[in-house]
Amino acid sequence: MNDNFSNEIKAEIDKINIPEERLEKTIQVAIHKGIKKQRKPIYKKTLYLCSAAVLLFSLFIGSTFVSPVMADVMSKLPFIGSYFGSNNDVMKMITEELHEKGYKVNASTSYPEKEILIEVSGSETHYREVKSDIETISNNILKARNYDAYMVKVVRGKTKNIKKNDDVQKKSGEYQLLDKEIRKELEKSGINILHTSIHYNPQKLVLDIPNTESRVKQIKEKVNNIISSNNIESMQVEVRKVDLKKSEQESRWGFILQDVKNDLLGKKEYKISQVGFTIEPQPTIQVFLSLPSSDEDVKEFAENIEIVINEYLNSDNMESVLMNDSYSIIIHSKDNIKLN
Amino acid sequence: MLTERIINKAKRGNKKAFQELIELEKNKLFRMAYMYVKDENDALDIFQDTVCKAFLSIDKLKETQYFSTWITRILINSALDFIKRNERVIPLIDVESINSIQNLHIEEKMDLVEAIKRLPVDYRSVIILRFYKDLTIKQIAEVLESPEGTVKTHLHRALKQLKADLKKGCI
Repeated sequence: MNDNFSNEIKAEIDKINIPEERLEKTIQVAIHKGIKKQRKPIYKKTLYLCSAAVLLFSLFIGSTFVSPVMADVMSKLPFIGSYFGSNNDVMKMITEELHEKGYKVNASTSYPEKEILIEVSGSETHYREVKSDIETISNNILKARNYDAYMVKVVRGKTKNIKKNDDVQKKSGEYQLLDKEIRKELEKSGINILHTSIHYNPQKLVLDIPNTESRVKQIKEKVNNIISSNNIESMQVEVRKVDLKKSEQESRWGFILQDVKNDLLGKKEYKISQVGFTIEPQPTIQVFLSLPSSDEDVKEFAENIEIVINEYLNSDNMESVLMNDSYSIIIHSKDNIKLN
Repeated sequence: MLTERIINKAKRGNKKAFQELIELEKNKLFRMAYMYVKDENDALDIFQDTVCKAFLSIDKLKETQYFSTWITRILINSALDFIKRNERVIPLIDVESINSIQNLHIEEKMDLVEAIKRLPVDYRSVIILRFYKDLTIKQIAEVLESPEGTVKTHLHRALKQLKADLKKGCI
């Protein structure tokens, strides 16, 4: 009895027409949707490993960092330098934006916590009023760049009572006068002074000159004369030679690093806790990962990061800035083990 | 069984294996969806939702022999969700409906599928699962996440209504 009914029902329901093609297509769409949904957080690790594997494979083919194959694969990797050479330090941007809105703030960052501390000057009431707006503005700037590694903290800045120290004022005035005269005097002899500064304990006047300049004795004599003729307490005079080329290189690389740093530190996915550089003996970028050397994927990850940085440094925009300087990249693990 | 191997492959994320599994079930799934919404486009919507959800959660399928039942459950839930979302008016057997049924042509009245479609959703589910998918009361209870007693009652009442509707002889 039930069987008959069952058979009847089956027969009847099976009469419903199947739109074959549309059904097939629907299956494809559904699976595709599923794959897309899967790709979020959980499968990021797999994505990294796959990307790394694909990349290393491409490298073995012997292509340069700028080959089209690499470029295509690179586009699937997180990439840095979205703000090529724009020198838009994110901290600067945040501070500028807040100042524009009329907020008296001072922003600073701490590492490796990656906390952006914004100190608001003014009363407690004022602070409470503006706190959330400042947070929103800052977070929006970070969000626009996809920087998820930073935490914004808005606090009330402690009012610094800068007591006008008359003694300091006097000394500062003296120093400025000195600087002016020294430069004027030395210019007459065609001597170029790069920089003057006063150091304390013991007090001395330091002059930075290009290392091509040899008339050190002459400079010292003249400076001492100027000091005494101005009735200033006599002090030590030190002349430092500066390698101009290196100095220029240092500032150029500093500029390059600014951009790199912003992105590398700002995004959690890079797992980088600090970035630094030196130019002695050769420009070297140092990257410190937040991963320990014991992590099984850390080597691949480090190689990945190195490739990403290289790709950025070798891009067309960066050519003029790099000026064919040869450089190296060193990546360290959390426990200071060199990974690459 | 061969299917078990495919299921295990699919569980590990093998897209092709998953597709094979769907191929086996697609017609029945589509037809069941259709029984809920009576519209090809809507049925495809429900079907798509089902396949997607199944793809995302197949790794959680514990007992591979129950793939068919498992995906049927997903389908029924998708269908019920769809109906809820679209606020389709499900014809309930009330005074009005009885009148309208009486006004139907005899041929239509005799149509079993139409009769099932006229059942309230809950009754429809038990009928479809019991007679189309041949599930046991226990399995139906699992799929619908209802107590077995409720399932039995619904089934009983559903059959009664169908009988009355169809004016059929011994069922």
